Amino acid sequence: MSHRHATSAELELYVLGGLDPERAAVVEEHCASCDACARGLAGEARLEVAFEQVARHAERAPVVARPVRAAAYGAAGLVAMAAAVLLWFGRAAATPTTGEGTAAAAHHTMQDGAILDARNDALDGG
Amino acid sequence: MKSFADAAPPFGFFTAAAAQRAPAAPSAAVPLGPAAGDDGALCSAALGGDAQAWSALVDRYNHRVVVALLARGIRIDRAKDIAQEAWMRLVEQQRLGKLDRLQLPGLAITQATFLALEAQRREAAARRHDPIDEPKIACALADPRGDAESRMMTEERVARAVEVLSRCSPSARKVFRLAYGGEGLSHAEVARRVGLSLQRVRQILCEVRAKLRAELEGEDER
Repeated sequence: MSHRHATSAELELYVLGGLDPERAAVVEEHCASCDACARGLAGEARLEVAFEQVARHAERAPVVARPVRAAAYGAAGLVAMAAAVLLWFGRAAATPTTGEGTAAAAHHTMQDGAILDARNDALDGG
Repeated sequence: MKSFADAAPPFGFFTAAAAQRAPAAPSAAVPLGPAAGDDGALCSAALGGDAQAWSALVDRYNHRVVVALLARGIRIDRAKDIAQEAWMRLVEQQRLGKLDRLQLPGLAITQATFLALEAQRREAAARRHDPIDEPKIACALADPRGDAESRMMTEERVARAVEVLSRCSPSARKVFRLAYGGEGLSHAEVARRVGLSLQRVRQILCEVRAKLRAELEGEDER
């Protein structure tokens, strides 16, 4: 029997089937008679079986928004809100309350003035 | 116990080399030809009694059977013997026309687990002083893989492991899913599917294992 204990990496590689046949045979021979290494090998094997459970779970798990995506969605929301605010102010600025309204008022005032002048002229007999 | 090679006429396709190679999980020696990934065709041929197809399936899946037995705390030498016998039983069932479906490695693992529990029952009976734990054996027989898994994993730990997995790169997740998911491909087949070398696939799996280990081992850390 081999007296050197198997390393964690060797046990992991054995379970993954990645050891060359010679080294695998040495690990097997040692684990057949070494309680500590046999326990280590069983632990690696349990992990291997557990991964199948994780994979099955992952396959049926709903797609979760990852942090990066969540941040991107948040930023997009803020941009949309800012755009909405700007649009609202822009439309507010375009309503006829300042420039166009004043011009219209001035236009009306001028018209009213002309009418008054014409009436005064008529009263004066001119 | 009788080895594949000793079991001449009915199991003549098990060469001595295959018997020696299979438990050690051949790595670079796994052929990557066009038929390597065609599991369905191999299983169909095996169901038709094709010895070479059986041999290829043993080469491909025996290591998974051995690992499943190791996970149950069975020693490596014993696990290899039981795995051999499980394959021989499957071939025998096929020859007797009792096998109409061949879903691997699940069927071989179930057969091997049954044999392991049967051996445990016989040993307990032989010792006489040790009472046979009938309820435990019956429970394990009803769901041969459930017992080990329920001991190992809680839903919460699985969920945490899935979360850790979701933070791995997309290529690592794909390799993990192909190797451990429903298809349960061999590493050689995973390498062929994703266009990477076998060594690179194992390296990726080792990296993912390192990330998941802490979540899965939890309080059972060695």
